Amino acid sequence: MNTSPPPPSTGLLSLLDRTWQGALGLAIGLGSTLRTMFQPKVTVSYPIEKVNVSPRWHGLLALPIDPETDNDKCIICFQCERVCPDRCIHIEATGKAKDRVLTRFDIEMDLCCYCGLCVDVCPTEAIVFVPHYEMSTYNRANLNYDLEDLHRAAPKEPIAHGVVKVPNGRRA
Amino acid sequence: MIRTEELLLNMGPQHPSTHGVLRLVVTLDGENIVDVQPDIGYLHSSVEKMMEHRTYLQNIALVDRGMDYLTAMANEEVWVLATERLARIDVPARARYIRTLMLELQRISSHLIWLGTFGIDLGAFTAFLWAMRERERIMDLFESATGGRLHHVYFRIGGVYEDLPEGWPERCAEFCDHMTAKLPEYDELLTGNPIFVARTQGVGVLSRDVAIALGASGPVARASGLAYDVRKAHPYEVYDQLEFDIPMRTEGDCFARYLVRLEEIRQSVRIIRQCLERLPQGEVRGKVSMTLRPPKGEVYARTESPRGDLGIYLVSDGSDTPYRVKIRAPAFSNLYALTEMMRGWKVADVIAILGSIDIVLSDVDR
Repeated sequence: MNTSPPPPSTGLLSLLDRTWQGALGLAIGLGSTLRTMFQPKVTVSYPIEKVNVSPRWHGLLALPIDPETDNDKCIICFQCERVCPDRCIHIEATGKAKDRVLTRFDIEMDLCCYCGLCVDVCPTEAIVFVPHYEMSTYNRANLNYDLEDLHRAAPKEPIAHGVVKVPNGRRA
Repeated sequence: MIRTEELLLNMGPQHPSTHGVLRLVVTLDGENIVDVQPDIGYLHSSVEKMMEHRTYLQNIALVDRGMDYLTAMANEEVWVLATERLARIDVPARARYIRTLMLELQRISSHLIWLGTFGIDLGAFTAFLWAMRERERIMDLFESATGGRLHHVYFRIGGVYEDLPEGWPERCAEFCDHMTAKLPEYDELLTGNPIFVARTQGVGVLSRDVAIALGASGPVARASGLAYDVRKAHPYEVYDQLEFDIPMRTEGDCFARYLVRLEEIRQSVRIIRQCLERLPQGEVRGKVSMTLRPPKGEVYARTESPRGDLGIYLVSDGSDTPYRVKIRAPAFSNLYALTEMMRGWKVADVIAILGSIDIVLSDVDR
């Protein structure tokens, strides 16, 4: 077995050969990038068009209204409050046993880590994820979602999937 | 004779090529590297301590971000594996196959990121864009199955959160075809590129003995001739029922590490195809209490993360939070080998060698 590296050859022929090999390698690489130029574009130009995320998307949390009872499905079991690793859910209720009424259901979305454990443990599917990702705001206080905000956040109709054009989108 | 003296050069922690916040103290003699000392700790998040204050379920969300953020699935896997072994919980067959599938998808996505950033380190920007393009498909697959793109919180103690959505296996199979079709393009772009080869071949050689002595694992050790893979040596999930090869090179240079990772992508595609074929029907999640209290005891679980041998040593005192967690991070051990690899090379090779070991600083510092 050859253990030492071969001595660098200095002949003119070897130089020409190496130059040729280098040029060939570059040409092949450039060829494949050129091919890509004529393939369909995969980039989504965000403000003009946007990607609608999957129904399982870990996005905004919401408390959808149950059409049967015209109220949210929360049974005030405090499981989501207990399981939350960031302790960002705050629930308060008045009354006893079956007459308990939800008086406070706050989620501090700025603390939320979107792990989805609250959605996982909820026995009545009262708290759900909404496939929505544009929640940024200039003020932290806007990220404190109270009961009313969480009712409003629930989607009224199913959300389309895939890349869509934004009606009022403009170039940033 | 002219008197020369050594120059101490600081690279990082805010250097774009140090892949995060790593500071390298390089001792130079002219252009030659005499010594390199990595200075770590800039991304220390004390995740091991934080885990002691959270329940076993909550920790799944923590290991996603607290450890290696590019391989969230692998982190979840090692955590649930350790907990399941400690509490002796069985996992349904379908869930085990789904987990294996996800782990291999994560391996491909992590290797693609590495491929792209390694290309940038060596001045090949196209590879980065292409790798991101392919990775985006994996991210979409993750998103539709788990709801998260980087932090999935998908694995649960005793299974996975939800079954795969409708049509997901077909989309995944489609991705496998796409990936195998695209890999020759990377060969054209990088493997056959004379500049890329000249900058990596024979550079930063790590010998087999040194790799073993320093505890290097994963692709770094396999490129140095150590055919060791936890998936084969200590099989977990369904790896013992699947057919795949461990890519191994004996050169130990940057180019060998590149080739090993590229071959690993091919092997991962092979594993995913087998999983999709054999995916059994049935439950994906067993009944496990939200406040799991494993019996008193300790356990060590090890897995093959995309970066190497990832292990968790877990001690339970019988309460609902772990008593102590120790994470054996592969990137940390691989970073040890850096000094040996760099000694004697030129300062321009620092970036190539550092890039080739694929470190993620949140994994190094934890």
